[in-house]
Amino acid sequence: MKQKHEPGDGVSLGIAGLITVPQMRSIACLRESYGPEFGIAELNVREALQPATDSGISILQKDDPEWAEFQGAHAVLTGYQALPGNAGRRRISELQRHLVKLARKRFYPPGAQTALSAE
Amino acid sequence: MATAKLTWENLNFPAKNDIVPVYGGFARALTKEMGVVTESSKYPAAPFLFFAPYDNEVAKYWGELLFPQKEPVYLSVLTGAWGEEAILESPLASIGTAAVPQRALFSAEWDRLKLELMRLGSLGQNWDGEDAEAVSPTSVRTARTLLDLAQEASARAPYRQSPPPTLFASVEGGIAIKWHLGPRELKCVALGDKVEVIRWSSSERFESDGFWEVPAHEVAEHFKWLLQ
Repeated sequence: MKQKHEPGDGVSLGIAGLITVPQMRSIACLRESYGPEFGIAELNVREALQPATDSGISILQKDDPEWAEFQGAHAVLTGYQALPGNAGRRRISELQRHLVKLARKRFYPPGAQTALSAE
Repeated sequence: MATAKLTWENLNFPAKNDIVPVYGGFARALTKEMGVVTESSKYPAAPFLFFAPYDNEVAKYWGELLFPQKEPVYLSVLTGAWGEEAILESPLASIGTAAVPQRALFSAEWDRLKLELMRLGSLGQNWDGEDAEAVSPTSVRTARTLLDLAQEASARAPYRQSPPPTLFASVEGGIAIKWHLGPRELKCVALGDKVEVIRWSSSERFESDGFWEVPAHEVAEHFKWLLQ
Protein backbone atom coordinates (compact mmCIF):
# COMPACT_ATOMS: atom_id res chain seq x y z
CA MET A 1 0.00 0.00 0.00
CA LYS A 2 2.10 2.85 -1.33
CA GLN A 3 1.03 6.41 -0.67
CA LYS A 4 2.32 7.28 -4.11
CA HIS A 5 0.06 4.87 -5.94
CA GLU A 6 -1.94 6.67 -8.58
CA PRO A 7 -5.52 7.50 -7.63
CA GLY A 8 -7.69 4.53 -8.47
CA ASP A 9 -4.71 2.22 -8.47
CA GLY A 10 -3.76 0.11 -5.51
CA VAL A 11 -3.20 -3.35 -4.15
CA SER A 12 -4.34 -6.07 -6.52
CA LEU A 13 -6.95 -8.50 -5.32
CA GLY A 14 -8.63 -11.43 -6.99
CA ILE A 15 -12.38 -11.81 -6.80
CA ALA A 16 -13.23 -15.17 -5.30
CA GLY A 17 -15.64 -16.96 -7.56
CA LEU A 18 -14.01 -15.58 -10.68
CA ILE A 19 -10.51 -16.87 -10.07
CA THR A 20 -9.00 -19.70 -8.06
CA VAL A 21 -6.06 -19.47 -5.75
CA PRO A 22 -3.58 -21.20 -8.10
CA GLN A 23 -4.62 -18.83 -10.89
CA MET A 24 -3.75 -15.75 -8.89
CA ARG A 25 -1.07 -13.64 -10.46
CA SER A 26 2.01 -12.68 -8.45
CA ILE A 27 2.27 -16.09 -6.83
CA ALA A 28 5.33 -16.88 -8.93
CA CYS A 29 6.98 -13.62 -7.88
CA LEU A 30 6.21 -14.18 -4.24
CA ARG A 31 7.46 -17.74 -4.40
CA GLU A 32 10.72 -16.53 -5.88
CA SER A 33 11.09 -13.80 -3.28
CA TYR A 34 9.87 -15.61 -0.23
CA GLY A 35 9.85 -19.29 -1.03
CA PRO A 36 6.64 -21.14 -0.28
CA GLU A 37 6.19 -19.49 3.10
CA PHE A 38 3.30 -17.26 2.24
CA GLY A 39 -0.41 -17.69 1.92
CA ILE A 40 -3.32 -16.34 -0.07
CA ALA A 41 -5.89 -14.80 2.22
CA GLU A 42 -9.60 -14.98 1.61
CA LEU A 43 -11.23 -11.80 2.86
CA ASN A 44 -14.75 -10.59 3.12
CA VAL A 45 -14.93 -7.07 1.71
CA ARG A 46 -17.19 -5.72 4.42
CA GLU A 47 -15.01 -7.14 7.18
CA ALA A 48 -11.85 -5.91 5.48
CA LEU A 49 -13.04 -2.34 5.22
CA GLN A 50 -15.21 -2.11 8.31
CA PRO A 51 -12.78 -0.20 10.55
CA ALA A 52 -11.69 2.14 7.76
CA THR A 53 -14.99 3.14 6.24
CA ASP A 54 -14.46 6.76 7.21
CA SER A 55 -11.10 6.87 5.45
CA GLY A 56 -12.28 6.70 1.88
CA ILE A 57 -10.63 3.34 1.40
CA SER A 58 -12.52 0.99 -0.86
CA ILE A 59 -12.28 -2.15 -2.93
CA LEU A 60 -13.23 -1.77 -6.56
CA GLN A 61 -13.39 -4.13 -9.49
CA LYS A 62 -10.92 -2.96 -12.11
CA ASP A 63 -9.94 -4.90 -15.21
CA ASP A 64 -6.24 -5.55 -15.48
CA PRO A 65 -4.97 -6.68 -18.88
CA GLU A 66 -1.95 -8.27 -17.21
CA TRP A 67 -4.29 -10.80 -15.68
CA ALA A 68 -5.12 -11.95 -19.23
CA GLU A 69 -8.18 -14.21 -19.21
CA PHE A 70 -8.75 -13.34 -15.57
CA GLN A 71 -8.66 -9.58 -16.02
CA GLY A 72 -12.27 -9.32 -15.00
CA ALA A 73 -11.44 -11.04 -11.73
CA HIS A 74 -9.09 -8.24 -10.79
CA ALA A 75 -9.97 -5.73 -8.08
CA VAL A 76 -7.99 -3.12 -6.21
CA LEU A 77 -7.84 -1.96 -2.67
CA THR A 78 -7.54 1.77 -3.12
CA GLY A 79 -8.19 5.19 -1.65
CA TYR A 80 -5.46 5.02 0.97
CA GLN A 81 -3.14 7.12 -1.18
CA ALA A 82 -5.39 10.11 -0.55
CA LEU A 83 -4.67 9.95 3.18
CA PRO A 84 -2.11 12.67 3.79
CA GLY A 85 1.20 12.62 5.61
CA ASN A 86 2.03 10.67 8.70
CA ALA A 87 -1.61 10.44 9.71
CA GLY A 88 -2.21 8.67 6.44
CA ARG A 89 0.74 6.35 6.92
CA ARG A 90 -0.52 5.54 10.37
CA ARG A 91 -3.95 4.66 9.07
CA ILE A 92 -2.42 2.51 6.32
CA SER A 93 -0.41 0.57 8.91
CA GLU A 94 -3.52 0.09 11.01
CA LEU A 95 -5.43 -1.25 8.04
CA GLN A 96 -2.56 -3.55 7.05
CA ARG A 97 -2.53 -5.00 10.54
CA HIS A 98 -6.30 -5.46 10.44
CA LEU A 99 -6.06 -7.30 7.12
CA VAL A 100 -3.32 -9.57 8.41
CA LYS A 101 -5.46 -10.45 11.41
CA LEU A 102 -8.33 -11.34 9.11
CA ALA A 103 -6.01 -13.27 6.84
CA ARG A 104 -4.90 -15.44 9.73
CA LYS A 105 -8.47 -16.65 10.07
CA ARG A 106 -8.67 -18.01 6.57
CA PHE A 107 -5.82 -18.48 4.15
CA TYR A 108 -4.56 -20.88 1.51
CA PRO A 109 -0.97 -22.08 1.58
CA PRO A 110 0.66 -22.08 -1.87
CA GLY A 111 -0.84 -24.78 -4.04
CA ALA A 112 -3.53 -25.64 -1.54
CA GLN A 113 -7.21 -25.73 -2.42
CA THR A 114 -8.28 -25.96 1.17
CA ALA A 115 -8.22 -22.97 3.46
CA LEU A 116 -6.44 -23.07 6.76
CA SER A 117 -6.67 -20.95 9.86
CA ALA A 118 -3.78 -19.87 12.02
CA GLU A 119 -6.07 -19.36 14.98
CA MET B 1 13.88 -37.23 19.99
CA ALA B 2 15.19 -37.69 16.49
CA THR B 3 18.94 -37.94 16.58
CA ALA B 4 21.57 -39.20 14.24
CA LYS B 5 25.14 -39.98 15.01
CA LEU B 6 27.53 -38.34 12.67
CA THR B 7 31.23 -38.58 12.37
CA TRP B 8 32.91 -35.65 10.78
CA GLU B 9 35.12 -37.91 8.72
CA ASN B 10 32.07 -39.63 7.28
CA LEU B 11 30.53 -36.46 6.01
CA ASN B 12 31.50 -35.37 2.58
CA PHE B 13 32.61 -31.89 3.53
CA PRO B 14 34.63 -29.92 1.03
CA ALA B 15 36.98 -29.17 3.87
CA LYS B 16 36.78 -29.74 7.55
CA ASN B 17 36.94 -26.09 8.29
CA ASP B 18 33.87 -25.40 6.23
CA ILE B 19 30.75 -24.62 8.11
CA VAL B 20 28.23 -27.32 7.83
CA PRO B 21 24.67 -26.54 6.92
CA VAL B 22 22.29 -28.62 8.92
CA TYR B 23 18.63 -29.17 8.46
CA GLY B 24 15.97 -31.78 8.45
CA GLY B 25 17.83 -34.14 10.70
CA PHE B 26 20.94 -34.62 8.66
CA ALA B 27 23.90 -32.65 7.51
CA ARG B 28 24.90 -31.63 4.05
CA ALA B 29 27.77 -29.61 2.73
CA LEU B 30 26.40 -28.31 -0.49
CA THR B 31 26.12 -24.66 0.35
CA LYS B 32 27.46 -22.23 2.88
CA GLU B 33 24.46 -20.23 3.97
CA MET B 34 23.45 -22.04 7.08
CA GLY B 35 24.81 -21.68 10.52
CA VAL B 36 25.51 -24.36 13.00
CA VAL B 37 25.19 -23.89 16.70
CA THR B 38 28.03 -25.94 17.97
CA GLU B 39 29.83 -26.69 21.14
CA SER B 40 32.99 -26.51 19.17
CA SER B 41 36.26 -26.78 20.98
CA LYS B 42 37.98 -25.50 17.88
CA TYR B 43 36.04 -22.26 17.91
CA PRO B 44 35.22 -21.72 21.56
CA ALA B 45 34.90 -17.99 21.06
CA ALA B 46 32.52 -18.32 18.18
CA PRO B 47 29.83 -20.75 19.15
CA PHE B 48 27.48 -19.43 16.51
CA LEU B 49 28.90 -19.88 13.12
CA PHE B 50 26.69 -17.91 10.84
CA PHE B 51 27.95 -16.63 7.61
CA ALA B 52 27.09 -14.68 4.56
CA PRO B 53 25.69 -16.08 1.38
CA TYR B 54 28.19 -16.48 -1.37
CA ASP B 55 28.47 -15.94 -5.10
CA ASN B 56 25.80 -13.28 -4.84
CA GLU B 57 23.15 -15.92 -5.16
CA VAL B 58 21.39 -15.17 -1.97
CA ALA B 59 17.83 -15.73 -3.00
CA LYS B 60 18.55 -18.88 -4.92
CA TYR B 61 20.29 -20.67 -2.15
CA TRP B 62 18.19 -19.31 0.63
CA GLY B 63 15.10 -20.41 -1.16
CA GLU B 64 16.50 -23.84 -1.61
CA LEU B 65 17.63 -24.28 1.93
CA LEU B 66 15.19 -22.44 4.07
CA PHE B 67 11.88 -23.30 2.63
CA PRO B 68 11.69 -26.95 1.71
CA GLN B 69 12.16 -27.76 5.35
CA LYS B 70 9.49 -26.85 7.83
CA GLU B 71 11.99 -27.12 10.62
CA PRO B 72 13.84 -23.93 11.40
CA VAL B 73 17.44 -24.36 10.55
CA TYR B 74 18.64 -21.95 13.15
CA LEU B 75 17.63 -24.32 15.88
CA SER B 76 19.94 -27.01 14.68
CA VAL B 77 22.67 -27.97 17.03
CA LEU B 78 25.76 -30.04 16.90
CA THR B 79 27.15 -31.13 20.18
CA GLY B 80 30.57 -32.57 20.54
CA ALA B 81 33.96 -31.25 19.69
CA TRP B 82 35.02 -30.29 16.23
CA GLY B 83 36.68 -33.21 14.53
CA GLU B 84 35.20 -35.67 16.92
CA GLU B 85 32.06 -37.65 16.85
CA ALA B 86 29.08 -35.35 16.82
CA ILE B 87 25.47 -35.81 17.68
CA LEU B 88 23.10 -34.02 15.39
CA GLU B 89 19.68 -33.49 16.80
CA SER B 90 16.59 -32.84 14.83
CA PRO B 91 15.96 -29.11 15.08
CA LEU B 92 12.43 -29.18 16.43
CA ALA B 93 13.09 -32.05 18.76
CA SER B 94 15.98 -30.22 20.29
CA ILE B 95 13.96 -27.31 21.59
CA GLY B 96 14.14 -27.03 25.30
CA THR B 97 16.30 -30.05 25.86
CA ALA B 98 19.47 -29.96 27.80
CA ALA B 99 21.44 -30.38 24.61
CA VAL B 100 20.55 -26.87 23.51
CA PRO B 101 21.44 -24.15 25.95
CA GLN B 102 18.64 -21.61 26.07
CA ARG B 103 21.18 -18.86 25.77
CA ALA B 104 22.39 -20.45 22.57
CA LEU B 105 18.92 -20.60 21.10
CA PHE B 106 18.32 -17.03 22.09
CA SER B 107 21.38 -15.75 20.32
CA ALA B 108 20.88 -18.02 17.34
CA GLU B 109 17.45 -16.53 16.74
CA TRP B 110 18.95 -13.09 16.41
CA ASP B 111 21.67 -14.34 14.12
CA ARG B 112 19.01 -15.92 11.96
CA LEU B 113 17.20 -12.59 11.77
CA LYS B 114 20.33 -10.86 10.62
CA LEU B 115 20.73 -13.41 7.88
CA GLU B 116 17.11 -12.95 6.92
CA LEU B 117 17.77 -9.23 6.71
CA MET B 118 20.57 -9.88 4.26
CA ARG B 119 18.26 -11.98 2.15
CA LEU B 120 15.58 -9.30 2.15
CA GLY B 121 18.21 -6.79 1.14
CA SER B 122 18.70 -8.74 -2.07
CA LEU B 123 15.10 -8.24 -3.21
CA GLY B 124 15.00 -6.23 -6.39
CA GLN B 125 12.39 -4.11 -8.09
CA ASN B 126 8.99 -5.77 -8.42
CA TRP B 127 9.82 -8.51 -5.94
CA ASP B 128 6.11 -8.93 -5.22
CA GLY B 129 4.90 -8.82 -8.81
CA GLU B 130 3.05 -5.63 -7.90
CA ASP B 131 5.78 -3.10 -8.66
CA ALA B 132 7.32 -3.09 -5.20
CA GLU B 133 10.47 -1.06 -4.94
CA ALA B 134 13.84 -2.72 -4.48
CA VAL B 135 14.94 -2.84 -0.86
CA SER B 136 17.50 -0.09 -0.46
CA PRO B 137 20.92 -0.67 1.13
CA THR B 138 20.29 2.31 3.40
CA SER B 139 17.11 0.73 4.68
CA VAL B 140 18.99 -2.50 5.32
CA ARG B 141 21.66 -0.66 7.30
CA THR B 142 19.02 1.12 9.33
CA ALA B 143 17.20 -2.15 9.95
CA ARG B 144 20.45 -3.74 11.06
CA THR B 145 20.85 -0.98 13.63
CA LEU B 146 17.31 -1.66 14.81
CA LEU B 147 18.02 -5.36 15.18
CA ASP B 148 21.09 -4.62 17.26
CA LEU B 149 19.07 -2.28 19.47
CA ALA B 150 16.28 -4.80 19.75
CA GLN B 151 18.64 -7.59 20.69
CA GLU B 152 20.25 -5.40 23.30
CA ALA B 153 16.86 -4.43 24.73
CA SER B 154 15.75 -8.02 24.72
CA ALA B 155 18.85 -9.17 26.58
CA ARG B 156 18.08 -6.66 29.33
CA ALA B 157 14.40 -7.43 29.51
CA PRO B 158 12.85 -9.56 32.21
CA TYR B 159 11.38 -11.86 29.55
CA ARG B 160 14.57 -13.31 28.24
CA GLN B 161 12.78 -15.89 26.18
CA SER B 162 10.38 -13.50 24.55
CA PRO B 163 9.83 -14.41 20.91
CA PRO B 164 12.07 -12.41 18.61
CA PRO B 165 10.59 -10.03 16.06
CA THR B 166 9.80 -10.91 12.49
CA LEU B 167 11.16 -9.18 9.43
CA PHE B 168 9.65 -8.50 6.08
CA ALA B 169 10.23 -6.22 3.15
CA SER B 170 7.96 -3.26 2.56
CA VAL B 171 6.72 -2.38 -0.89
CA GLU B 172 8.32 1.04 -0.58
CA GLY B 173 11.81 -0.38 -0.42
CA GLY B 174 12.09 -0.56 3.34
CA ILE B 175 12.40 -3.25 5.95
CA ALA B 176 9.67 -3.75 8.52
CA ILE B 177 10.21 -5.27 11.92
CA LYS B 178 7.17 -6.53 13.78
CA TRP B 179 7.34 -7.55 17.38
CA HIS B 180 4.65 -8.81 19.73
CA LEU B 181 4.77 -9.37 23.42
CA GLY B 182 1.53 -10.17 25.15
CA PRO B 183 -1.04 -7.58 24.10
CA ARG B 184 1.64 -5.10 23.02
CA GLU B 185 2.66 -4.85 19.42
CA LEU B 186 5.29 -2.77 17.72
CA LYS B 187 5.98 -2.22 14.06
CA CYS B 188 9.06 -0.36 12.88
CA VAL B 189 9.66 0.35 9.23
CA ALA B 190 13.19 1.31 8.25
CA LEU B 191 12.82 3.54 5.21
CA GLY B 192 16.17 4.93 4.25
CA ASP B 193 17.79 6.35 7.36
CA LYS B 194 14.48 7.07 9.09
CA VAL B 195 12.25 4.73 11.01
CA GLU B 196 8.50 4.81 11.19
CA VAL B 197 7.27 3.45 14.47
CA ILE B 198 3.70 2.49 15.20
CA ARG B 199 2.53 0.63 18.25
CA TRP B 200 -0.52 -0.90 19.84
CA SER B 201 -1.04 -1.66 23.50
CA SER B 202 -4.07 -3.82 22.77
CA SER B 203 -4.25 -6.67 20.32
CA GLU B 204 -7.98 -6.07 19.94
CA ARG B 205 -7.99 -2.42 18.99
CA PHE B 206 -7.77 -1.21 15.41
CA GLU B 207 -6.41 2.20 16.31
CA SER B 208 -2.76 2.41 17.21
CA ASP B 209 -1.37 4.25 20.22
CA GLY B 210 0.75 6.52 18.11
CA PHE B 211 2.99 7.00 15.10
CA TRP B 212 6.51 8.35 15.18
CA GLU B 213 9.09 9.06 12.53
CA VAL B 214 12.47 8.99 14.21
CA PRO B 215 16.13 8.18 13.63
CA ALA B 216 17.08 4.60 14.42
CA HIS B 217 18.67 5.22 17.80
CA GLU B 218 15.42 6.68 19.14
CA VAL B 219 13.61 3.43 18.53
CA ALA B 220 15.32 1.95 21.59
CA GLU B 221 12.71 3.53 23.85
CA HIS B 222 9.95 1.82 21.90
CA PHE B 223 11.68 -1.55 22.29
CA LYS B 224 11.91 -0.82 25.98
CA TRP B 225 8.19 -0.06 26.05
CA LEU B 226 7.42 -3.37 24.37
CA LEU B 227 9.61 -5.41 26.68
CA GLN B 228 8.80 -3.70 29.94
